[in-house]
Amino acid sequence: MTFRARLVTAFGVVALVPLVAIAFGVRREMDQRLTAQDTRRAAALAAVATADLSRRGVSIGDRLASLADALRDDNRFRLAVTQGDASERPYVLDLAGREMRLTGLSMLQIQDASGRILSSGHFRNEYDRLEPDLPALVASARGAALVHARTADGPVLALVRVDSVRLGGRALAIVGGEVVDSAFLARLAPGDEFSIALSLPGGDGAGATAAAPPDSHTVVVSRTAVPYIGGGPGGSRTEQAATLTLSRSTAALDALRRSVDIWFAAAIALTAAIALAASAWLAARVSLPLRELAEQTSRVDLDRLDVDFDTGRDDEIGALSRLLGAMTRRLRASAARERDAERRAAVGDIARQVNHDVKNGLAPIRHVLRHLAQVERDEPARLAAVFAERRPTLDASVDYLDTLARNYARLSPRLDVAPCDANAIARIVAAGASLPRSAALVLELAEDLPPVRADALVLRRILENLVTNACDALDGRGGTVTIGTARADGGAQLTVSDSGSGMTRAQLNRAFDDFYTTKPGGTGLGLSIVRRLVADLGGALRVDTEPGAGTRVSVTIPPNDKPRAPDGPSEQP
Amino acid sequence: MPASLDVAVTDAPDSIAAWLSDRGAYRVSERVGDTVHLESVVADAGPSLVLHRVPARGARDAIDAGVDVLLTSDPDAVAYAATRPDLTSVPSAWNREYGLLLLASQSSDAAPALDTLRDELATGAVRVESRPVRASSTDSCADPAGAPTASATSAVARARIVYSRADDVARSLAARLIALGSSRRELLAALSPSLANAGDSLRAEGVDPGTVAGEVLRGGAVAAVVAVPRFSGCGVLTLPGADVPSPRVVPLIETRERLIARRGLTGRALAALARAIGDSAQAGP
Repeated sequence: MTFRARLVTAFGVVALVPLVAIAFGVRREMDQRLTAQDTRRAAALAAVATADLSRRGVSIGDRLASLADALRDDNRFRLAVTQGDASERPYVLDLAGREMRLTGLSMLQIQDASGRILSSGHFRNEYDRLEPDLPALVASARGAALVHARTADGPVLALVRVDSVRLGGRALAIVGGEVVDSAFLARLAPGDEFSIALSLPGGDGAGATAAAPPDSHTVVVSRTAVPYIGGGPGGSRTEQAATLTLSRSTAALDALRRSVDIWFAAAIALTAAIALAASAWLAARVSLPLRELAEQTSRVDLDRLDVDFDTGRDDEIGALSRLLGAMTRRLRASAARERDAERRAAVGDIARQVNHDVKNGLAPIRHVLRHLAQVERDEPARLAAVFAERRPTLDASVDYLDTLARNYARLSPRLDVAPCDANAIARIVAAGASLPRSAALVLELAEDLPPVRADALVLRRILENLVTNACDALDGRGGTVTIGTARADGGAQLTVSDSGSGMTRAQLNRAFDDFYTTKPGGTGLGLSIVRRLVADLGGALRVDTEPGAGTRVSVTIPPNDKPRAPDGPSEQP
Repeated sequence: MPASLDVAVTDAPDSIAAWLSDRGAYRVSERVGDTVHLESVVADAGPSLVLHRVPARGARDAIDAGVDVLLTSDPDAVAYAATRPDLTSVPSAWNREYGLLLLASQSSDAAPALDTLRDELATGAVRVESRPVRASSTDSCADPAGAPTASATSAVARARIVYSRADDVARSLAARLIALGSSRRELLAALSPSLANAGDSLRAEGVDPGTVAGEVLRGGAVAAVVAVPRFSGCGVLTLPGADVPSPRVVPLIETRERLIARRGLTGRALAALARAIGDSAQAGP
């Protein structure tokens, strides 16, 4: 995961988690309080509705009591009831309707002791029908009761009470009330969000009034039992119980919840967007300099220590840049010191190599001069002859030194490749070899060796170094140093072997390292120079050695037309 | 004698005018909106009449406003006029007959029960002056083809009795029939077994005046209370549809109105008018 992704994630988590936690907390607390408040309010309004229903019953009773008083004072009605005055029959028939309108009732019937309806307000022409049980059943309800009253248009449900009046010893029952329809129930509903439904035994029900039809947002607030005189005209009546159900729509509360949720979601989304933008900006502010720093750092190596880490930032990235700059400067100083040390070491190496090569070039001269001095002292007459005999050696050594000087003058020697006689070079080297007194140098030269295409000086340096090492390996004891040549795969193979002490595996592994030597006063450059020179010629180097069994070094020079790519030396213990 | 009498009516002036014309004393001379002008057929037989309508519940207000003559069946107006010494009241002839239109057959031995039913309806069911129909001509006029048999239409008819919602008398008769459906079902059986069988489920419903008979014919109601003006000939009952069984109208009650007039008009004018609208048995010339 990238630093930017981590930063964005962290920013998002840090910003969103607390906000979501707050949102849920506030939502939960608000929901609980609103719900509790709403429940209390609904319960209070339900009590109001129940009380209103009760008050309506009381009001009906009051109006029936007033009507009873009025009937006692109504002489025409009294005459009709007590004296059977037929002329007043129309008056009686219309009486209930008139009184019903006056009292604001919507159901009224006056019955005699036998239950015969004398006058009906809600159904004028229902007179003479017998309904003896109704007054007693309504009275037993001890308050208002629901009954089904018949009208010409069909039965209607009414909330009724009963009262009575005695006229001339005749008991009359007055049953009256209000029709319970949707309008009646609507008036009972304490608010638009409430609805009231009336459920009658047997599944019969009155209409419900509501601001909206019952749905998933509707909850029942209360259920109130209301006495219900079941049955009806034509059937026996019984007292049962109806249920008045007050329901409430929670749509407003749910809408409030939804609105709060939407606002919270919007706030979270906005916060998330801001957090993402801010974190992206911040990540860009942080990760971009880091990336640039990484790119700058990736360019640093020992050859490129000039990378500029300077910055004007005063933050952690600035500090890191400055630290990297300081580190680069230290590296630069260290590299300079190392290069200086290498240069000095290289100069020393060259000096030692020059010293070594000059010594090698001077050794034959020294031998010749020592020989000439000996001849002058012992046989002066032969001095000229010996000088003439040894003059080629002197000339060759002088040429060698001259070429060496030219090469060193160029610092980087260039091969002067040309066909040369490897056997002749071998003989020259053998002639100049400094063998221990009891040692013997053997030449095993192939007679049919073709000319070798190489730099003769390089070839001589190779053989001189190998012969010198072979002589040293004899440790001043007796033994044999053999210089051999042979054809090899179209090229030539030069071999220098000794019967000396040989090398261990560890010694062999380091034999070609610069300055590695096991000899007191040795430079440790002989074999390393041989390795480089063989590589310059494109030849191959092989070492076969074993402690106590001597060492054999083979140099293979590729044929003239097929120069070999230089490869590392191979050793065979 | 005044040249014309201003007559307020609580019924439709056209209906009253048609009735008066049928009685032969007057003929329509002019119609202006809801006002109908009638002139005497016989010269000097009486004043010309100007009929204009007043609301049914405004009859007493018309009296108080000083209208010359009021022709109404409103019992409250009649009772109010009786308390006023300056007013006199003369009954008209029985000018309207109410019957029950139905498709179901009538029991042949139902005549006694039918008479009882007519008595029952005439004595309390309606608030206007009424009497049971006895030897009515309407039933024979309305059913020239004879009594129809119970049809499929009537078998599925809705259990309701319809009436014109503009006719209080018809509404009262329908309501009484509904009430009798639960208390005295045998009386309804005299009219129609299907009416009696409907019993408590029977309902009364007011409909547009022009659709009363149609409701029965198309099976929307088992019966309809219809009003038929009493003319010298047969009652006019226009029934739509020629391919339906002929309906039967069972006469129930007949009603009449009252002529309420200021006593100042007593004399030839009122006598002429009373003679024109009155029952020959009660108000002779």
